[in-house]
Amino acid sequence: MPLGIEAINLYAGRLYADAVEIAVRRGKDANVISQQVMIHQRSVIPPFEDVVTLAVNAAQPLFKHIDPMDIGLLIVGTESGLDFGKPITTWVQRLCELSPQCRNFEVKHACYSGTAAFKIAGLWATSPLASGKKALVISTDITRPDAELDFEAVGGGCAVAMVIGMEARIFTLDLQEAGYWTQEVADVYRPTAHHEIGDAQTSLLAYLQALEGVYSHYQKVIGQVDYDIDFKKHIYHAPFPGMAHLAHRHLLRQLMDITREETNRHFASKVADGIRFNQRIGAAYGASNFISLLSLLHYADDLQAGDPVSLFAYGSGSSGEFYRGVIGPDAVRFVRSLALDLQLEDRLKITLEDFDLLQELQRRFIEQSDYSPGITNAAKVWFMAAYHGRKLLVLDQVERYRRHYVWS
Amino acid sequence: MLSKEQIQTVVKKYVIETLAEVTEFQEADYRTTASLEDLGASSLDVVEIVSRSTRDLKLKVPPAKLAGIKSIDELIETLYQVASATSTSGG
Repeated sequence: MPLGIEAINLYAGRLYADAVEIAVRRGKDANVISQQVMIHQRSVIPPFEDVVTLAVNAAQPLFKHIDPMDIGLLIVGTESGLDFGKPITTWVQRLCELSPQCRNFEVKHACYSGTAAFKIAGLWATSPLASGKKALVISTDITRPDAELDFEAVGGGCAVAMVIGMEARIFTLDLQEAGYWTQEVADVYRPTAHHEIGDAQTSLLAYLQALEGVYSHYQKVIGQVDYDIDFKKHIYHAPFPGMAHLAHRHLLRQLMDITREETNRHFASKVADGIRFNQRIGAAYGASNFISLLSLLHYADDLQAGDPVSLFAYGSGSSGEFYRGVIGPDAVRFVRSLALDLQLEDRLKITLEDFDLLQELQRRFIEQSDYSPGITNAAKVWFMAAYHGRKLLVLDQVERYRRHYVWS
Repeated sequence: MLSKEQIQTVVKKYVIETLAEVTEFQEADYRTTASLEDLGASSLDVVEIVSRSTRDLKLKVPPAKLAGIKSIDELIETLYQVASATSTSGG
């Protein structure tokens, strides 16, 4: 049986705000936001959720398909770590009731972390170390509440959890079919627990240079590649959904003589269905590629088992990887059974005033040793409206920096 | 070694082409002293102009050089400095 994704799930929290409204109040052009940035909504993560709750809430539904005791490796990719020493995986292992015989660790490389975790897990699954067990890979992140205002409209937070093993029925891959590239650059970074800073133009150019670098390396690894014929669909890392459009146009112009109108049509047929979930979540960080895969499988009418898909992962700092995978035999049925569109539809919309209040609460709790994040204080209204009784993991208390979680 | 005139010609071509695709920009609107933002360029447009120009000019610009660039003149000067440094170091 082939290596790859055996099961997958997305969790984007229970609250969202209108991204265009947020952008316009900061003086942004609404047309640029909707036409070029291509974002509609963004997740809003309340103070009683963190990267542990997002990760666990994404993973829990997977245990309908797999025994948690069969997980032999747990890797969490994140740039939103909660502790300099204790990895997120230790909470996830306990709260998901995984086996004590489960190697686990956290990996970081900005938005490349999810793909890094995926590839490491794949390597482990193909090795004798796996001994018939499977890997659980989770990508979980939240935008800093003090992120620069330019990023406010496209911020967000979410987690994607995936079971990786040798019985892939969602997405299969050959680990050797990859091009990769790295360049040290300070484009977007998180130098403190408060800050998420960067320069938009520096980051966009670094991203495009990485795309050129990984594709060039991929061609060297594979040999002759026809970008149009060899892939049924294309997935690009999407720090905001419109980046996938810019990246696709950029690469097409590198490879062929093509007009803007032709690139737009090409994008509509081969990329656009893959950003539809991203357009309702905002920044997904390391989970971005996998949300695009879910979105393609949910929406694309012309995607079938056996179809090849290209993926471009990018992490600021910077590192990129370009690889191909193949749609598995049960992919479309499995992903559509998750009804992710309805889950996003079911979230509670909050006003800009409430958005500011929740951001302020998040900000207030950073690096505090003792606090109650919201179940019993100012955020209780959102807890009762959107979380209560849904059996989601929430953060209840922090006492002397020790985190206590409960089920809603 | 690229001359400044070569860089000016290529940058002008892609500023006009890129902005005409997304706004009602026309060649008569082109002013090198103007900020790209005032001409209607978003951050995405600026990077598209830079990436298309540098491809034609066969230049590799360190991404951090783009931080803080406002006007077309500043962009041309930055590309010229990169071209000069590349030439000096033997490519």
